[in-house]
Amino acid sequence: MNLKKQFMEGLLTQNPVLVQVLGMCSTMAITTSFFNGLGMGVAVLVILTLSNVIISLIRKIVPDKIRIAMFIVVIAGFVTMVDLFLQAFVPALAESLGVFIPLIVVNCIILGRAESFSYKNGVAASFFDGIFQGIGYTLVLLVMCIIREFLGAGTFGGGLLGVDGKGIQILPSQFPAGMLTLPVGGFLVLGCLIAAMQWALSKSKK
Amino acid sequence: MTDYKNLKLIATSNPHIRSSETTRSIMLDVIIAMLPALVWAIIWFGVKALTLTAVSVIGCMFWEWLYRKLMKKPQSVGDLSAVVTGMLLAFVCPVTTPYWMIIIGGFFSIIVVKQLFGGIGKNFVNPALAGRAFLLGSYAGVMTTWIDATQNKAPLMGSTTDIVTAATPLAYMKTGNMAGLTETYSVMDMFLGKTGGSLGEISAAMLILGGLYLIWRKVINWQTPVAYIATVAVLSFLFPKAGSSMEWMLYSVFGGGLMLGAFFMATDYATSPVTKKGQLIFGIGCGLFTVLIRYFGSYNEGVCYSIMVMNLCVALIDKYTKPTRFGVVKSDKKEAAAK
Amino acid sequence: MSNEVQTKEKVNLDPKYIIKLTVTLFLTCVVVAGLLGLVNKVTEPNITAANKAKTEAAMQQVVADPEGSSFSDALEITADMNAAAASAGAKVTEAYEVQAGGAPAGYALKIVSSGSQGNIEMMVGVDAEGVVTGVSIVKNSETAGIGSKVMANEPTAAGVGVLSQFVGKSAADGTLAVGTNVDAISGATVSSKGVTTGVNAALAVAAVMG
Repeated sequence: MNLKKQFMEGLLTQNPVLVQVLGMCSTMAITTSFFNGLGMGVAVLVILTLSNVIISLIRKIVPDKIRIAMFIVVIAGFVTMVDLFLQAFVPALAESLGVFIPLIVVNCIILGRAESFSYKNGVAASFFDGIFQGIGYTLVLLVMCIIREFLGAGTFGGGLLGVDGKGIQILPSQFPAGMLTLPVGGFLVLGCLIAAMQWALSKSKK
Repeated sequence: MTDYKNLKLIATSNPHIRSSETTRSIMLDVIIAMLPALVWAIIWFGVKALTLTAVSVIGCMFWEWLYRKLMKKPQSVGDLSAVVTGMLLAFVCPVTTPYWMIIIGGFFSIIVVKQLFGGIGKNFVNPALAGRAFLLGSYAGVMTTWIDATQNKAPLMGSTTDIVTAATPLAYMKTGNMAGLTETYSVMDMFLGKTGGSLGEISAAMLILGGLYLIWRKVINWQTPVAYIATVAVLSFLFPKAGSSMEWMLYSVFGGGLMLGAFFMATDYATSPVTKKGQLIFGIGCGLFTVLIRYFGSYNEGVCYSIMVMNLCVALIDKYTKPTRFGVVKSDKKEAAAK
Repeated sequence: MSNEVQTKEKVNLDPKYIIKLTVTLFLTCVVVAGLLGLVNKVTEPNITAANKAKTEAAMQQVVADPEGSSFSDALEITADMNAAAASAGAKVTEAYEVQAGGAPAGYALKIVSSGSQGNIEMMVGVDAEGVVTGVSIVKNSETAGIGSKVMANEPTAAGVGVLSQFVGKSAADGTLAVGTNVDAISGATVSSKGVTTGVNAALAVAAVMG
């Protein structure tokens, strides 16, 4: 087990969003305010870690033929639990993330890590893989949220800070380009981030 | 002794046809062709039309220069394509657009749509239209405020909250309010440009003048604009929403950005098909989408989006209208297709 | 063909193996379902309470006397109510009876009508005489800067909030329509029309409910 390598992979060299290009749907759909990004990121982190641990635990007894079905059952179970807990205790977040919480079931990051990592590795390594990949995902979401929220609404910390949780207004309200908070803005920002990441990675290799 | 290495001889395969036509000379022709419409905009909307266009042009040139500088690429600001983009961008915005907004639009047009994809000739949609679409999506309120130029001219600086606004001909047509339309604007008003609308789109007469100049100078082919305008004309003649067919057709053809789009936007080299057959298909597609959006969409005007949609189809159109090479027979073609 | 099948992995048709697969999957599902049941038991009261609070907050905005009103549980949507809403061009999704001081004082209706960018979900209060007591928007996706003005109840050219202008309207005003007896926000005609359609539907539904 190589913690440092796993950490670097999760955050940079194998970043789930920017390098593996997994979980695009939620990344583009919910990154409109800081609170959304944080909530989604943490939800995925928790589900990913739990499912990684469980799948790693049962990997020896799961017959190869039905492993995907088993993964989905385990993941769907955790997602539903998180969904219910959010609805019960953080209704504001559940409301603004809406259908994207149930959709974590089909988030490729979780199934992807189950298939490519935790099904082949020990419990501890899978646990840390879940944490680091989750952090990598959350960080990208937060960066996207901050960019899109600042340029699209002129605020920072939407849903969390400021009056009525509307965020702290930095740009006067007539300037922000509202298009960035629309889905098309998600594509634009994500495209630029992926390009920047590839550029940085290719530079560091040289 | 001659220093052959530094002679800068360009070796290419034959044929060696030389043309004095350069990007710069083409762009210069396009700029000249746009001047009549600009002059009319200044007469009709006031000096703000000129200053807004100037700011837009300077903004686009600045972004182009800055990107090439920062990325250490050969400077391309001299080819005047940024000037054309800047002018077109101003032409498709309301004259009351604030200066800072058009600079942001220029940023989107030049940096995001053009330079990030590799600069001139590599952009896949028309930069000016993409800039407008971005502004419309971001500042919908400002981008759909149309000044009533018969009541007041656009203020040069400062707030535009007190201006008298008017519905554009297309807004009347969207609701099928033909009585209100004919009362406010006559067909002659539409042709000359005494209406509300974007800065450079209002005067069909001036735009046709510019378009004819471009065709005469062989900068553009007649296929795209004619196919585009004819498609809109035929469809609106066949399916009038209100009023008589003829009347509805004339208002449809002279209204909105159709002339500007057909002559100056749909003919952009990088984003339109290469072959004449392809250009016909392209023009018909643009016309079809324009009418569909005007009839069934939630926006009044469909020119901007229809051209952008067809821009995305150019690769396909080019693929299927590729002329057969000399000497290729049918069986060869089949073989090539099977590969 | 036959060659291809042989090169593929042989399908194991051993009954024991198939039973093993089925049982494993079944047991996993049972365990997960059991856990979910447990979680549901813990969270259900909170979720119900949160949903109820949300609905009540929306209803309180549309009745004449927010302090003194109480609301019944959701009423059954009858075929008549659906037909009444549909004839006005919208859908009714929830209906509640409003009680003020113990006496029935009209209805709060959740209506879904179409705006310019998608559905507009709104709560409309109608009192016992069939007069609108308030309109509030629950959910919408109207264009920021245009349709959003309607959703935020910004004043029309007449100076009254675009949603507030519906208060006091009733079936006696005839079918409400933008341009005749309803003012729209300039540039946001489609969104204004969507809300107007919703209010018409609410009046029609309330009339059916009596």
